[in-house]
Amino acid sequence: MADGDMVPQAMTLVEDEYPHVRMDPFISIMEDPDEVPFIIHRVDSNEIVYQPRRRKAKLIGKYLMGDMLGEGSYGKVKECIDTESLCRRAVKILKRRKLRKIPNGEQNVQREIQLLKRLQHRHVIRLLDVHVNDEKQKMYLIMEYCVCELQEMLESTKDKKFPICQSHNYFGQLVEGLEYLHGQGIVHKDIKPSNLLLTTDETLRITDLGVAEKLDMFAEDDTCRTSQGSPAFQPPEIANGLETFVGFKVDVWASGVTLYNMTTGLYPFEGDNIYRLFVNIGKGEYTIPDTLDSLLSNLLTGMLQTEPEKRLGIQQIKRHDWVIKKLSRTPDYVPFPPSGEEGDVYRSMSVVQYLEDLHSGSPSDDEEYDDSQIFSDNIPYSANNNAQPVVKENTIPEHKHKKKRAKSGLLASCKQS
Amino acid sequence: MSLLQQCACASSKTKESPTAVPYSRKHQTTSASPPQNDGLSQGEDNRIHSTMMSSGSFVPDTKHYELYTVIGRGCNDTAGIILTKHIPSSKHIAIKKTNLESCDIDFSVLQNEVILCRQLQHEKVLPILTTFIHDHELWTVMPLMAYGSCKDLIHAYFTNGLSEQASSYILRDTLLALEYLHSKGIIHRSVRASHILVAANGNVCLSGLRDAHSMIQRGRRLRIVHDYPQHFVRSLQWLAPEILEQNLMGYDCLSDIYSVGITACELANGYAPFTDMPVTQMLLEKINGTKPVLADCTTIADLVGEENTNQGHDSGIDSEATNSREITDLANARKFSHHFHNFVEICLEKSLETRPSASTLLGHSFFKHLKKKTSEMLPSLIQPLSPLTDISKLPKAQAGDVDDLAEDINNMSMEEGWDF
Repeated sequence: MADGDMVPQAMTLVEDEYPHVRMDPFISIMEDPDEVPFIIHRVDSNEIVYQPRRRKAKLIGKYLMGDMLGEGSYGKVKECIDTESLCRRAVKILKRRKLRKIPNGEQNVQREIQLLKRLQHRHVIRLLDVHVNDEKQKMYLIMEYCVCELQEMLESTKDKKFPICQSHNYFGQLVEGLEYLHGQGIVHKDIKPSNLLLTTDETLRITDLGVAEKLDMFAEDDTCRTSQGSPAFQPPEIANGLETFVGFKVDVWASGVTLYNMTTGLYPFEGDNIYRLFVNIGKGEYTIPDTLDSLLSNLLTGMLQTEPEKRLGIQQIKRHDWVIKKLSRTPDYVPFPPSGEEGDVYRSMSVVQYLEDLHSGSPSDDEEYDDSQIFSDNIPYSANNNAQPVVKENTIPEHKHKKKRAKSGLLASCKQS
Repeated sequence: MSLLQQCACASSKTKESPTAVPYSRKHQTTSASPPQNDGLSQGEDNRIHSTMMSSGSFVPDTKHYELYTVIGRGCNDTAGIILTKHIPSSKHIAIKKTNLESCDIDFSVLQNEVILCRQLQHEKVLPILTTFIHDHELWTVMPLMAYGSCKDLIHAYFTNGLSEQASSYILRDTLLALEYLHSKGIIHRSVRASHILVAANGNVCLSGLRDAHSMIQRGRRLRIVHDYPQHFVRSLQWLAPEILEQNLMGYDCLSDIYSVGITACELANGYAPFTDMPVTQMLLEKINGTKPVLADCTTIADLVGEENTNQGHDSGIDSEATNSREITDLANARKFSHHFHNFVEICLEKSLETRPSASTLLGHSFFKHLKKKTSEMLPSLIQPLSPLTDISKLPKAQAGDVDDLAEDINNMSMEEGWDF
């Protein structure tokens, strides 16, 4: 059993999420080898039993943490589950220390929270809850769970592109989401495949409003002055360094580049470095592969117009013949790539292993629940926080679970099949 | 009060003392008379049912309805179910009044329920006769289901479960309703005892279509759906594992069949499985393939064996040990047929490939002996309970006086009411 204990503990130390983990005696020996005679036991390889990694349950408010979904410059994104509704969620974990190192990091997060809290649309990601841990200098943004990034799906294919019908499906949803955002006076400014997520039923959700801009309610038009979006998706007016530009048309351009990328696996403009790239974008010279039909290349041309005034608007795009037309699904439709080391085709909940820990019967586990952190109820990033419910503490009533567990076998009338 | 809590308290009461019925005595004394002799005769009730479906006589006008008393709550307690007299016909009906201002449910969800229900017409699906908005309230006019829900039956008298025969009639009618809904591409998603209602004549209707989900989207019938009913926390116990898992596999109409299996246990045992554990543990149990069973002398030995091993880990639960003994005694004293056991087992198949459809299940040996109509048999099987029909004795309420009515509910014989 000693081997078994060692494995999870050593693994857990890698995770800085769990500072409460006790130091393993084995490791202290390693640190101070003079003090204790170092004995090497000979173990037959057959005796070594590889135990699966034990996952330790961790709660943030009512959310039980699962595996990591991704990692950005701001911090990690993990899967989690709402322990009341059992709904799958994603949590963006932001560390203030990291945010300070990024230009406008804290401001961007603040803006994103303020924007997302007000938005509710089928094609825009929803922010459900914000938790702040002042002691750890961390912030947790609880979002809707999405099963895959568009970028991840593109990368799972050989040519890094989708069949036309699939691009058509996603693009139509993107336009609907953009129409809503623009209607709300919001310029996203960072539309690209890695900011477009898909739910289990393939509904597209626009995410990452970190560099988005909310126009002033009384602004005469959608003139913007700043942009921090991804270089390859920037329009000529930004590449050329214009002081002001038309905000909504920036999103149109980026959506055009996204559509170009999804259908061809290429980018309309490239460059060895950001300078060369911007020079090429500024020139506005690109070619559309002849593999694309004339209707689609007409749409792309309309969206990738150098002059923002000549560029199509969202309403024109919505009514474009290529967008309107019905396409049936072709056999080369790209499925969601399998997830995790095991290659799970269903992309099942990773939280289950943590649930095992939460409800495992061994009494020695109790100390793990000391992880309960008490969160301050202030949300420093939201000035006008009109009632996002914040759960102040997350004590797990473990003793309750236990008492109940004792009779659950009988009352639940269950048997293991 | 949340329904989960109700479940928990129901089962705990069962443990404390099987004779103590959490219900007013008054009701039981009135129940001595057979249901046919009550204020509303069976014939009349039948007529109501047949005419209600087709008649356009239910007008969206409050003047046509004389409200009596609250007989239940719904919609997270923001809706009251009110026993009502339809003045033009002098018939007794039920009106669900939902306060739209205090209701935390999205209006579109309520709207969907109405739109869906009005497209349906089946003897075993509770119809909506008319709906309208009066002030800040949504009025939904429905036939009166005078026995209340099957959960009411359990709470009122059958705290240790209904008889196998009564359960079989109720389950058959539930499956008939599901067979119809599934043929229309509708997944009910909250089949449970509190959504199965019994009329004075014994007819069984499925209600609770607020959580229902249509597989027909944009003119196409989908093979699987993924929508997670995140607002319906109260039905989590009954949900199939594939709904709870929320992965790419998705789910379909067969997920309702799993809920039928859980409901079968609920009807026969008197409490729903997984009642006494946190929902997170329930999720784990379902994913790990735990299959609830009917508690009787054939299964109790296994269940108690499990119990004893559990007690090995945990000490200091003497009071619970005595409760377990009571349950053990109860279970030992009864035996369900192997048909019933098998029915529950196949409903609770984890794999969608092996789980049967509603139509297949209607041919199951469990239902072989049922020749008569449920409405002919059920009232006699749920005696001594009687339907709520003698309205003349009830206090007449002022229209729109829901808040006061809500207080009256405690004095009413049908405490638990309906859960729509």
